[in-house]
Amino acid sequence: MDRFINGRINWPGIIFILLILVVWEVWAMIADSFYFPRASAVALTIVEDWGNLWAATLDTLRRAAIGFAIALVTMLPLGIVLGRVRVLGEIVEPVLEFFRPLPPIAVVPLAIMLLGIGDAAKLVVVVWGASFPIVINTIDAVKVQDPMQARLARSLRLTTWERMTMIDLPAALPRIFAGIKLGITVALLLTVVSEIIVSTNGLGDYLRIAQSDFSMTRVMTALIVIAIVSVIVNGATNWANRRLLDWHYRRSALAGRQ
Amino acid sequence: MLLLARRTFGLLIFLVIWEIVTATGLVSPDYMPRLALIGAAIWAFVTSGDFWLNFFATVQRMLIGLSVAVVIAIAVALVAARFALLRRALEPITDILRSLPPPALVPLLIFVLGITPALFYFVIIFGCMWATYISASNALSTVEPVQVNTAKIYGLTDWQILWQIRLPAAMPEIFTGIRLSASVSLLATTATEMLLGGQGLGAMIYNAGFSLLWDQMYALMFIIGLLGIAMNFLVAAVRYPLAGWQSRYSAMGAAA
Repeated sequence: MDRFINGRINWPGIIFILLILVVWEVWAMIADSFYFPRASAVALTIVEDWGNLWAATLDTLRRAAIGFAIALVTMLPLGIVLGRVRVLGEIVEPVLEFFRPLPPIAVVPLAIMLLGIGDAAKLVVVVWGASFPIVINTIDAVKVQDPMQARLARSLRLTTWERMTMIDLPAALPRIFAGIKLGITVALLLTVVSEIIVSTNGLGDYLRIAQSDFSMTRVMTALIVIAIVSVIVNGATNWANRRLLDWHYRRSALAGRQ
Repeated sequence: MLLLARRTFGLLIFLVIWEIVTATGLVSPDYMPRLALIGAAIWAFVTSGDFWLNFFATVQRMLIGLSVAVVIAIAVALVAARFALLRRALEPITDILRSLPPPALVPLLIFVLGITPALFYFVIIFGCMWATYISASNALSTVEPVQVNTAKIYGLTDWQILWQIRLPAAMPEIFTGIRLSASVSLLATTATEMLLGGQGLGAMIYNAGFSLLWDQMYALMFIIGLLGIAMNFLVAAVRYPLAGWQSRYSAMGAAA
């Protein structure tokens, strides 16, 4: 029983999802309502409308990736500088803290008015949203320093460059990656939302068109595809994170066992 | 005191840069109004009753949605912490559901629920539940084994251990989740209001933006930003009596 629950493959979870699908199918069959498409109908739509869905998915992913890349390239160096140069950090951080609670959605009308409904407007929203987790986590990551490690570096007479690459960077990586992971999730989420509000193409647009066509099956299909895409993207991020920070997780697993 | 001066200094520099950019006409004043204009717009809002109606509509949706979501999330997490089978069964489905952007549910639910308060609350609760649930269920299942074993020696039942040992120990991490949920609730509320119109700050900013009322739009962005800060303070205020022991505890370690 314990192997079944805590095994490497999460059987209870898989069975639970299958159960939900079966209940959904049966319930929809009994209800036979326009508002409640059957699971099989949604699956059929995914197969039949594959061409459109795939194109929409690519549009969404491309936009999310570009937005995230811009945020990463600008915010990572900024975060390092702000975290390292005390004075600068103390001055700029309150400004960041002030803008952070502003929901990225609130930037949408501004972005549309300035940049029109093209890609640029949506990218601004995505970049805005993805920037905060990255920059704030990076600042925190490079600011906090283990005093023992700093002393060790001095004892070993490491040069500044050696210290930065061999001690500071690895020490800051887990926290920076936490920010990057959050940034990726936010980027994808905001891409879809901004596509719903200002649509030209992408999964958000697919969803909105399905809604205005009163096609419940396609609305449901779009939701399922959005969920699948984000699960895959998040899973890939987690996998890369574990690969790159293997040493970190091994150490904390060790500490947990003591 | 010095810290406070430095903190306001940063915001002051930001305002000065804004004023320089707009005053010199570097950016057309149509797009970036002068600070005085934005200030006037804020003042006009604050003195009008209509604004407060919208303001409280948003605040009400946000607070009720957040509270219900937090209660549901912690309740489910508690039961899941007690029964490992349930916790594992819920893992993949929470991964799937939490990756759905809350506003994406609007097109589906609009058919089922219509434009009713129920629709707003459903989207908001659905949106903010996950962050709290995930951190709560993580924290509840990774409590210091020594504490749990001690409780067992004292003959506490499983439910007592859960309620008296695990829940208090998990509180700090749960509040990290609640803080995330709070920011999601603001986002979900304004986004839903933007999509559905009617009352609320989200609908107001949408209308202001598309009517090219720039000063009003910046004023509303400023007010929503303040609302976000207020939410953070509120969560911190609730956190203090429930999980404040942790900061006092770690401060003790630093002093020793």
